Amino acid sequence: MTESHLSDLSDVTKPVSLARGLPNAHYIDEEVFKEERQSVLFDNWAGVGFAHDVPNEGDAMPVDFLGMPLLLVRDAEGNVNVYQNTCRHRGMILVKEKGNIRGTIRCPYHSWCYGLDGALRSTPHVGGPGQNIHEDIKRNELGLFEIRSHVYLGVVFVNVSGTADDFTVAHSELLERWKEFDKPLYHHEDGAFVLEVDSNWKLAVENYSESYHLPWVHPGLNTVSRLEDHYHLEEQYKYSGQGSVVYQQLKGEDGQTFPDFKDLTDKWDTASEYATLYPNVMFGVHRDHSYAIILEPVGVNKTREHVALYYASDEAVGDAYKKLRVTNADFWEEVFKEDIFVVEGMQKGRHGVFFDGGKFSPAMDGPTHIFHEWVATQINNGRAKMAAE
Amino acid sequence: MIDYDHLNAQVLAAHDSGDNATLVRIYQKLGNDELANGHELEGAYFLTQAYVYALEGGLPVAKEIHKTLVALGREE
Ligand code: FES
Ligand SMILES: [Fe+2]
Repeated sequence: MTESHLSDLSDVTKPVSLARGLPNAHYIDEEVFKEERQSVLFDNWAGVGFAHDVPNEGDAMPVDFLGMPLLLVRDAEGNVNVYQNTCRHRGMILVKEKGNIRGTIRCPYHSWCYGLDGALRSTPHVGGPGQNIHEDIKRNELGLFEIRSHVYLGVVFVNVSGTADDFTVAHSELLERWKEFDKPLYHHEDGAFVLEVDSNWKLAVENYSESYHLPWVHPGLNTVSRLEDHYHLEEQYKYSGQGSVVYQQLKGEDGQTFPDFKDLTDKWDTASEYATLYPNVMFGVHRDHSYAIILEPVGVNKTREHVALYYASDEAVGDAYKKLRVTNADFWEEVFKEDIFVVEGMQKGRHGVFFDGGKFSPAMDGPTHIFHEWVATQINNGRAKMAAE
Repeated sequence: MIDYDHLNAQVLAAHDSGDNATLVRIYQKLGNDELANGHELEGAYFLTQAYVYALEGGLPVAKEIHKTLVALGREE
């Protein structure tokens, strides 16, 4: 038993009836935040941006992911690739601002040039003035470091460490559950917004996982979606959240509704589901739209929530649906904003030195507990790896 | 005589506005002139500048400049 661990997680991995939540340090301590950066966020598949952030060939967007400089690039084949945004020469940041790369990525320092595929294309004056080759500069060994990535339901996921199972293996359960929604998605910029929250990113997940708070925090939902209409989504070590059996489509003045995703089974006529793909992406799926919320962990007590709504067809993002889309986006923004005071309040509450992680309701907090258990397991894995080194 | 002050101003303006086509045109001409005068080093230097901006801008002329530099043993 090593005594150097930053926190004691032995109660967190117990069954829900006995378990405690993660200790305070996991929300307020910079050292633990660093530990989680690696074990929870870098070692798994974390969401870092939306595919629609780079819609066209050559579009590039730098992302600062917990200090790690990433570059999202749309290549000539239409795929999104992610690279470390650091030049292989002297380590200069390659791309500072979102934009379109017409030809190659040129480092602003000594102008080494990289293709959209990450390959090093030119090394000007590297062998002296006017001499662009040198026997020790092997271009095929000096391409940009590619970061493993995968696009799912509009979100670009990365596994920084490169050690996670393939995305489709790691998340096979949710992919299977929601396979009917794994279709082309249509986004309009009026369905995007960002919320700043003064809390650790995990509290947003924890709140999102349970329906227990709905009657109190979202009283407006009481009439359309009551507590008893909800069920838990619980897949140990994988994902968790909640579902509802009474989804009703939004209706415009003239009875207009969004077009449905094609070929959905009957279940989805009235069902909707909300789950977090661990660690940091919260999804919602409905017969006529889905959404994704990427939690950007800005700091131990600061989170940026990037929200994007998606529709089922090109038509749904056209002018004819503008009004309905705006109503829908406003609705969700309102709901997500209603959650902010509890998420920030829980953050403040974690400075209470006697708080012990809290007591879960075995009936209502199962999905939240599963998230805690997963986080604790990731941290334990990281500590075991450190101990073995 | 080449008017270097004027050229400099042109190059700086093109740098500021990210006008790769103009940069390529200026550097390529300088490079080719130097080569024509038998100054390989100076020529390759300017053509390298032209090449990089052509690559960055995705300009088709990059191919032609690349060919010249390869022929001089200065690019791969
Ligand atoms: S640091 Fe990028 S070319 Fe030198
Ligand atoms: Fe909520």
